[in-house]
Amino acid sequence: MTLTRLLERLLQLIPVLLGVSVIVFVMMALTPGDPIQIMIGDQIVTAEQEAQMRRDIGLDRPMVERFFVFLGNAIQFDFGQSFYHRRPVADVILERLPATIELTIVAMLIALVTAIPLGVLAAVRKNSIFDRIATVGGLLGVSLPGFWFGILLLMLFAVHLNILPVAGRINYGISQGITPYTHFLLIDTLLNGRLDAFRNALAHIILPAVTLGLPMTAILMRVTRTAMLEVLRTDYVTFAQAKGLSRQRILWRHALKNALIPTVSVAAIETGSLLGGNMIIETVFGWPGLGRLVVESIFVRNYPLVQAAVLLYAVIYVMLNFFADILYTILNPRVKL
Amino acid sequence: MSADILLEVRGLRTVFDTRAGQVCAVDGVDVTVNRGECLGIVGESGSGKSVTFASVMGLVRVPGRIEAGEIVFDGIDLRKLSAKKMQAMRGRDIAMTMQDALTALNPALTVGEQLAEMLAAHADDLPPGRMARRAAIRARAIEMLTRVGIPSAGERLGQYPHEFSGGMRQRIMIALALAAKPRLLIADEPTTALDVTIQAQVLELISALRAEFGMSVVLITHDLGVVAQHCDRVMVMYAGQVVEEGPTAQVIRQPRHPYTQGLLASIPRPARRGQPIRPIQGQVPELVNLPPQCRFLERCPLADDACRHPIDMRPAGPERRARCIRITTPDIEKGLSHDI
Ligand SMILES: Nc1ncnc2c1ncn2[C@@H]1O[C@H](COP(=O)(O)OP(=O)(O)OP(=O)(O)O)[C@@H](O)[C@H]1O
Ligand code: SF4
Ligand SMILES: [Mg+2]
Repeated sequence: MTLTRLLERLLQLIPVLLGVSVIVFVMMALTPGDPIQIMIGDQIVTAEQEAQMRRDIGLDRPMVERFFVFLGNAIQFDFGQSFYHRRPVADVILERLPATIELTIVAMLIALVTAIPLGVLAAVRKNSIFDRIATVGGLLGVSLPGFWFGILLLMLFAVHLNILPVAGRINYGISQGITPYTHFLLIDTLLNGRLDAFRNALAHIILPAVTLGLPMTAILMRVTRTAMLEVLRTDYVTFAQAKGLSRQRILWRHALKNALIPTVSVAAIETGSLLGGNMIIETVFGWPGLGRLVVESIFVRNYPLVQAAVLLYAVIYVMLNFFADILYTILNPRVKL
Repeated sequence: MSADILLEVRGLRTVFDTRAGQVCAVDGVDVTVNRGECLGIVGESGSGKSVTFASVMGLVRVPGRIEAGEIVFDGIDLRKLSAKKMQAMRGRDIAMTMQDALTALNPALTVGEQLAEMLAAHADDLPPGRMARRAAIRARAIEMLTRVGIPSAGERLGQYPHEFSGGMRQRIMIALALAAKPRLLIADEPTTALDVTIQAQVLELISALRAEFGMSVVLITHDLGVVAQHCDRVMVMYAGQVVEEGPTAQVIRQPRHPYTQGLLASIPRPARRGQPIRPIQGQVPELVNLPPQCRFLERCPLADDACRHPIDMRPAGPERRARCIRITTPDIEKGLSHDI
């Protein structure tokens, strides 16, 4: 792929992102409840003071003007103050974001690492007992509500067996003295040479990551299975057999290399849907990430924060789709951008 | 078995279990390929040419299976070989090129990778050591590509199949099939997908390589003209059976079976300029629940009630056999000898 083509594709994102901003802005503007009243809470203010507040935030301006102000600020990553935290929204979000990204990536990796071999095996042993179990398991994986499965895992591993922690990202005591180079705990603990802390962080992340990744695992397994079945019927697999290559080589190199093209693209797109899952899973597992922050903020009507988070989610989602496209072309030598 | 015979197939029966019933794609086929010879296989689409040789390679896939028959290659009964041993013979002893090179080459692997893995799997005279081995494989890959007529082969190793023209892809597939210097090459319609000038080049290449490597070739084709030019013997297939076989020149000069006669009458040739081309009327029958009678009956101009029972192959001259109760030499073929 050429650089100019890449830039072109990036430029195409602009109208999409603009549209997303309009939607977020209008959505928040139409939400019932006057932000000024929320800010005032039960303080006593005069009508004059209230009007002044309104002018300060610019709420007395026409909608269109307010939108461009919002957009201009958003580009500078300025989303105003979080009423609740009394700090800039952007700071609060940035503080919580690494935990969510870490959880999402681990969930994604768990999903990929389990789904691909299972999908390949299900395709190779089509209609076998294994294939049937995998199919039923996959169906459950997509249809079970994440929080329900999460609570089940919690009860089993954290309560009954007591081998994994119930909530949080790391034990407070253990986390002391770790320099946050990347803000990803699994990496920072290793960079600090703190194996004990790494193990503790790993124990914390396993249950939420597995729960979050479950529907993804199920989907990716189906995609891999379908793609493999299709690929195994192709002439080039027959020809690879005719060349006298080993079964393993044909399966894992000739067939999988082609079958992975749809799998990886779907994985990239589906990562976006993990963001939605985060809100529930982070709440269930007390994970100090953005998802839980958004849920909390909705309850306390911390609108500027919700607005910023929704915009961020949308941008990430769009970027992931863009990334999936790029990945598809990289993996598939036949497609030239 | 005679020392001259490389491949001998006896009574091969390959079926596909489908919803409509059992499709008998290959029904009692015998094939003999002598050492160093080129055997042509002709027949309409669906006559079982590809399935016959997929059976020989042990590459029939579900819902298909070989129901009966013996496949003996150089004294080894291939059907009794373990999967592992059969795999070792494929590519090294018996190689195959497929009908469509575009779909037969893996789109996600470079041509160099596909050649290298073939060489790595079969060449046992590679030098020890990773780097030396790699270099030797690369050198041999370039040598093979150059041999089949790919210019600047070294630079093209890193390219993917779709970056080559159709004729080039066919050559690459031939290079792949011949990389391990097999004793038998099964070339399944190597030219059908190509335009005429390229067709001739590819066929010339196969003939030259046959002489060079001293291998036998089975050339599957729709084109009797190709058979006339390149094959020592020819086998005509119809609806899953062999209907006629013999030395090419004789079969073409004096076809014994009405189907072969029909095939010959349906190709335009200079010697018959002015005469109308006469395609064979009707269609190949469905291969499900065939009645016990001559399979060509519905389309045969000579059919009568005597043909309403299973017909066996019978001698039709020296080294010739045909599957028809009237072994005929009709006058339409007089004077049509070598001019195809
Ligand atoms: N997977 C399959 N399922 C069912 N029937 C099949 C299958 N593969 C082949 N057949 C049957 O086998 C018959 C012979 O097919 P084959 O591919 O050998 O024909 P062919 O002579 O090579 O024709 P062509 O010239 O078109 O390549 C077909 O008519 C078809 O009915
Ligand atoms: S056996 Fe009868 S029907 Fe069959 S080819 Fe001969 S003449 Fe025709
Ligand atoms: Mg065929």
